[in-house]
Amino acid sequence: MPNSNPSQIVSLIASHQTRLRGLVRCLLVRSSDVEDVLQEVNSVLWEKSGEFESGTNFWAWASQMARFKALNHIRKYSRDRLVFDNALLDELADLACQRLAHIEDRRQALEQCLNQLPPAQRQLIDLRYTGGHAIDSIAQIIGRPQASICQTLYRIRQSLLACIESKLEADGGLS
Amino acid sequence: MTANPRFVELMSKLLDDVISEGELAELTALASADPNFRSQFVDHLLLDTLLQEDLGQESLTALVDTVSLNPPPQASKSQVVINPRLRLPVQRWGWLVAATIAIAILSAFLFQSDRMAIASATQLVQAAIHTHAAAIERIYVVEITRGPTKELQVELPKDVRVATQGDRFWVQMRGQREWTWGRNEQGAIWMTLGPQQAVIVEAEEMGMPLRYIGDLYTLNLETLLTSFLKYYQLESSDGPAGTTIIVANPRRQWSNRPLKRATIEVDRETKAIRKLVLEREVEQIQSVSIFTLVDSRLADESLYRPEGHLTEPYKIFGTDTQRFDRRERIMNWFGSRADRWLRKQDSEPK
Repeated sequence: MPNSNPSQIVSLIASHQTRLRGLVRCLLVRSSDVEDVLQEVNSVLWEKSGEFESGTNFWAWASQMARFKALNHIRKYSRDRLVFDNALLDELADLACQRLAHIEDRRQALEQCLNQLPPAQRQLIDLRYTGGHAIDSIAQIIGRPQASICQTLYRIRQSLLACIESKLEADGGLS
Repeated sequence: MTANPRFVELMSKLLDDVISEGELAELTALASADPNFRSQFVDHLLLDTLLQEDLGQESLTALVDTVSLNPPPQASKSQVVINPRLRLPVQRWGWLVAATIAIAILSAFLFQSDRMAIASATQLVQAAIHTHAAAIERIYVVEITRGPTKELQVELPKDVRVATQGDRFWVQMRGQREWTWGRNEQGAIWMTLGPQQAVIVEAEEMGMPLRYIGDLYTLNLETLLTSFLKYYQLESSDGPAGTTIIVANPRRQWSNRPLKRATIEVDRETKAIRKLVLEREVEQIQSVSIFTLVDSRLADESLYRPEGHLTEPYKIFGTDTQRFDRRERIMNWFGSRADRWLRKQDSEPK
């Protein structure tokens, strides 16, 4: 039964970008091809929007497309195609979908957690993500060895994850 | 939570894009074998995604290109040509055209009554970009107010005018000395030192005072207005004398962008920007820059290069001239306070 009008589909695709990007990232694992695959997913969602029935679960429909596109990309192009078996990819996709159901809550919690970071840690996160610097470049800017930067960044990420979990639990256990 | 040092090391390498294929195989084997590792694996990748989305360059382009470059499904269901790699680099107007279409569709559906101001603000900013792309040069007088700058000690002249056309600009500064300067596409600053010589300072050579001056007065209007469309919440209201006032606030208050808030006064008829107020944090100093339109004229291409401000015979000193030599020329013109405009090199003579 048709279906949604173009503006409705655009708004649905737009409002699911974070979820789609997250799912694609969990399957591709490396960040390098995520935007390309997301582009393909958006294109195919737009192309096949006639098949989407208005009022049904858009995420269920879109996530299937994203899964298919990501797996296809891994099989065809990825240098890591021999690294992943189908069972692991399925498990990763299921886990990602569980977490992505509450991604906006996670985003809000992350916002608060970032604001609580000590300035030196925030500076490191900003260099990596806002500035988009590679680790060797951050090591040069800060004057510390690369391994030390990697370790510190990992510890910051761990503390952000713990902070997010505690905020989600405090807000009603959405994790 | 299990803390397996090898898992931590490999995960860290993955997130920082320095993992090899062999190491990735080892990491996925760990994740396959242990549900706890799988869970951490997914948590870290999703956190990385959120951090990239929220702190990094936002990527509206994928969706925007899809909508704008493919016909709506109803119009052509049978054959939709899709280029799977329709990514940036964006042509000069590609993003704007795409954004116009996508935002028009989105705003029609998403933003009802109380959001109409946002839609009209967006359209007006797009119209302003179009207006300022024409071959008309607009001159703005600039006033700056700023917080304490005890470490920087940069004196700013009272009479500063910025000429701009599209994404280009040049600046005329009148204080103890009169000089003009501009920026090339690589971010280097050229500056005239009198009528017969100019110096070029590359971005990585700039000392903090020069970088500060550059950042305060740089007016890449097209880039600035485009960033409003991408990263800022826009709201419009009626302004004085046939203008509309648009206020731009970052969509994410905790983003690290230096521009904290902008107010634009757009002429409703010509769509030119009459006044632009930028509230920024430049070099950790709060500042408010007010650009007020005072004149418009046909653009003169030559004035966007140093040659256009010099008279023959002249000389332009770029990186083929030693840094200390260029610094000395700058100091000869501006005085000893300009000694930090070019960073010192270890190899320079003491």
